Amino acid sequence: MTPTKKALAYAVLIGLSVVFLIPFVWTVSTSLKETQDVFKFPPQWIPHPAHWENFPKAWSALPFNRWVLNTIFVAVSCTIGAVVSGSLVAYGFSRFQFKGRNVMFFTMLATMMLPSQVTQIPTFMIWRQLGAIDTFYPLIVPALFGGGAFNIFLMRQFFLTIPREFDEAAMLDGAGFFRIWWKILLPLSAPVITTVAVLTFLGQWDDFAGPLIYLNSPENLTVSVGLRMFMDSYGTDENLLMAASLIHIAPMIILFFCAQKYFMKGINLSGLGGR
Amino acid sequence: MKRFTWIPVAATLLAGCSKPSDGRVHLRYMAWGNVEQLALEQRLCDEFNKRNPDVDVQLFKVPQAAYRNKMVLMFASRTAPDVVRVDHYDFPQLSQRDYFKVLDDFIAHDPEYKPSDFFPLANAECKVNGQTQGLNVLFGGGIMFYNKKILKEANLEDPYELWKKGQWTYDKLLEYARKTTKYDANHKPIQFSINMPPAYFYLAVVQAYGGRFLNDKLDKCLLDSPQAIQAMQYMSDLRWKYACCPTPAQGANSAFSFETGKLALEFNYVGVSARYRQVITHFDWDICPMPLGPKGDSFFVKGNQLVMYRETKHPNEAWRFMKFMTGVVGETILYIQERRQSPTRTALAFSHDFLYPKKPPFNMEAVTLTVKKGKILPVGPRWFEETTVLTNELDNLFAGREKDAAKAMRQTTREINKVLAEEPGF
Amino acid sequence: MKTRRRLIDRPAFWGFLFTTPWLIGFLVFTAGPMLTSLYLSFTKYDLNTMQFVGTKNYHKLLFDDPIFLKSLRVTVTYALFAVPLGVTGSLGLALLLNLKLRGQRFFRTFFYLPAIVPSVASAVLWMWIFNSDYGLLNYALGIFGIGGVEWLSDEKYALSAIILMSLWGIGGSRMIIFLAGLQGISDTYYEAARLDGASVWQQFRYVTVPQLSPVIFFNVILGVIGSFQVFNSVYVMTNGGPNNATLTYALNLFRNAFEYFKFGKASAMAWILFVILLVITGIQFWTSKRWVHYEGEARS
Repeated sequence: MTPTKKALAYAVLIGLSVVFLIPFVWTVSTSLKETQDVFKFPPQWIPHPAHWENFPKAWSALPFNRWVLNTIFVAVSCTIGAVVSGSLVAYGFSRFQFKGRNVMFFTMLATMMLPSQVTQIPTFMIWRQLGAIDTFYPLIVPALFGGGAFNIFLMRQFFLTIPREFDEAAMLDGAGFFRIWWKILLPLSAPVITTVAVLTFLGQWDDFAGPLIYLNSPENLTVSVGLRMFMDSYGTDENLLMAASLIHIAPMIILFFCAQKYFMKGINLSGLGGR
Repeated sequence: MKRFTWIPVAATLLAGCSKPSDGRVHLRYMAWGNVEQLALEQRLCDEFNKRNPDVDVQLFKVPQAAYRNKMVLMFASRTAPDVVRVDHYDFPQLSQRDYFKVLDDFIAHDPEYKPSDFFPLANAECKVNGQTQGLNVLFGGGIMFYNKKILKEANLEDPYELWKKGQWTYDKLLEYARKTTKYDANHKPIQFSINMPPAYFYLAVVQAYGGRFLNDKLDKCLLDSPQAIQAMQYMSDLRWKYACCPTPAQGANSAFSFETGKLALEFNYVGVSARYRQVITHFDWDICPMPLGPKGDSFFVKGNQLVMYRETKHPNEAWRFMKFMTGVVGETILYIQERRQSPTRTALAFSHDFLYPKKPPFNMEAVTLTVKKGKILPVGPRWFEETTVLTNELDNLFAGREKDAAKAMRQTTREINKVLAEEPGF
Repeated sequence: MKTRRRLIDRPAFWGFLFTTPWLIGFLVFTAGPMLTSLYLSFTKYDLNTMQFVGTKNYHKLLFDDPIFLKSLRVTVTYALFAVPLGVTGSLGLALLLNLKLRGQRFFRTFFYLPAIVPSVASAVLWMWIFNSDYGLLNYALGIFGIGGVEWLSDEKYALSAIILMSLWGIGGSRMIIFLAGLQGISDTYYEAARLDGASVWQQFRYVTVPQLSPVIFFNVILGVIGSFQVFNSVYVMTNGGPNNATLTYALNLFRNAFEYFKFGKASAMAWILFVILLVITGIQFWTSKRWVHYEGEARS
């Protein structure tokens, strides 16, 4: 590549990075301002002084600690459920032949294209009948049944790339199917499992419509719904609003950085990229 | 495998049953409000808990915007709190669904509770087919706030004084509006005079001009009458002809609000005064009644119903709490001290402490007048449907898409009558 | 007894057993509810009383409901812009990153970060960015001498604002997938093309795109389906306004279900959406024969 082309490419890359990152900077900057400085024009990028106390202030204005615990509980449960049940299902689809397997698999893929609205209302009615409104059941239980078509698909693709010889060797040693799943496939699937786990956790952390419909008591809310509630009560305190949003975002960024390596590998290796 | 799916299920079960067992009866109470108003509710709960150590009332805070949905959803999914404050806008419709416990037995057997202590209108509002299904709270009408500093700077007489002389009319309001709206050299607004009358204050304006929203049977919309059109044109002109009202976009910025001192007059309920007392520090303010129209006053009144959830497990304790909220102690805190609305107890509404408070707003007679003279809003079981259409259609007028009130109101009336002609629920 | 032992020994049985979690979930949470919502769509139901009304819901929606038609228009407009812009954006970023310049890992991380911001927080951020007087966007435009716009309170611009916001996430998983795909294209193709004298653009058009076409296709399908379900951002930022300019199909449906409690009508809306998406996806599959190029797949 010619040097000018290279320079141009770098310029574009850097320019784009700036564009993508500026909203973050803007948010952080606003979160550290005092209420009246928020409405100053032109805006100052680095507030003097930085009001770090906006964070504990926003945190304690509403029961965020309870909400964070709730969200972690739901997200972790869903993640464990999705990984365990999803890998089992993927195991079934990838390593076995049985009647109706292909029909089931393609039906499962087809459900990825199903809009959630078609099942939303009757599902709500089911939970209402079971008296499970305002509990976490509606949010967690679905994840225990495979964790979603996308996750199963990712894991199935990945399992297909693990040589069958490993399975066969284990069987010769007398291992049953469960052992093969537990001792052979899972350990070798760290990248895709991390991917599924991270995606599921992110999805649950972000989930808004579910908690909106199913959770009512203030102490049962999750952070996404709680943040929305914060908007209604403190809509005019932009600095606190930004601080609260950052509190909501921070765990995701930390999670992403920790899992980045595996995460990228996972998507690559699952063959989604193509060849 | 089984070992793992076990954990989240078990943990969920544990999370579901985290009921503390301390011998007290736990009641849940749901109400709406802004931050200050909810703090007031909490204060009342604490006050009740102090006086009734065997009961623990927990306040359910739901933000105003989501209140109606959450409340209806909770009733429908049988997870409602024990005591709920239901806006009267929703009361007729929801009472039809048997969500509320009938209170007549409690009233009959409780010597402490005397219906004669309360305004007859307040009691009547809570009756459905002759049965009392709620206790009235936050009963009253809308008034106006005014910024004394801005008016003084514009050399305008105090509106409350004008009212006492019978001269506080809509024409006068327009004059005040034009004199207190300021723009800078670049035609950017510095100060506005008034907000657009919110729902359903604008119905009161219609009333003052001699129009009505619905007929007596509540099955026909009458907003296309010449009087109603005149009232609506007045309001539209405030914003679009005389530019005295912030436009929706300008209003979205919290910069032009009464509490920031950039709005000279405001249509609102006296209940926000608790917040104003806290946050307004740089100007004096007070309240006055809504102006007199060509055909009468703009007094309207509406209450809210404190209801007991039909399937509550603690009806007796819930009744005690509801009694407290409408009792002398509760009403003194709620209305006399904090001016949340007019008291529902007649003795308190006309008491010296209420009419002559030590903290602003001082012109409390404005509030009492709404209760004495106010016309009730025509709220029936189909109120929500009618007003959804009303708000949607009126938005055309108030957002300036349609500047001719006659056209807008004819369209509005057509649409509302269409909805009313159909069966409810479509 | 003997039969049972044989069944347990049969791998096929185990295979099926392992997939039963999905099967049960499918029957209980997907198939069952689908049939139920189909039935509900022919009723009037508000969680209290149910009344069979035949095709009245559908009739009203399609012929007598301007708000429904508006929500359809809004959603289609959104999809028409957000999907092509989003897919080309992701692809473009992936191509840039594929140049394998130094610091690639940093850039990839910067591009990906917006995609992991939870949608409610993202909506809050962007509401502030779109603020007409103090927001970043109008401020930035002002630096270039372009007048500011009332992004979220002007019905001409509100939808554009939502679309713009969706583009913040083009560096997300979709881009990673494209990147992986690009990296999987064997160099021999490019060499052959270059030997034939192909320009960079021609290489892109005749090597990259066909090789990537299955992935592009997959992403377009999912993109369209996703764009028809936009809910979080409009619920939080504009609540469908101003004047229903951002009333997406999903928001309108949610409102009819969980705010107006018109479950019959909402179910009908859900099924109309399903049919629309089936038709669109079907058309996409049919036209895919023209441009999607599969390389003799030997997938199990």
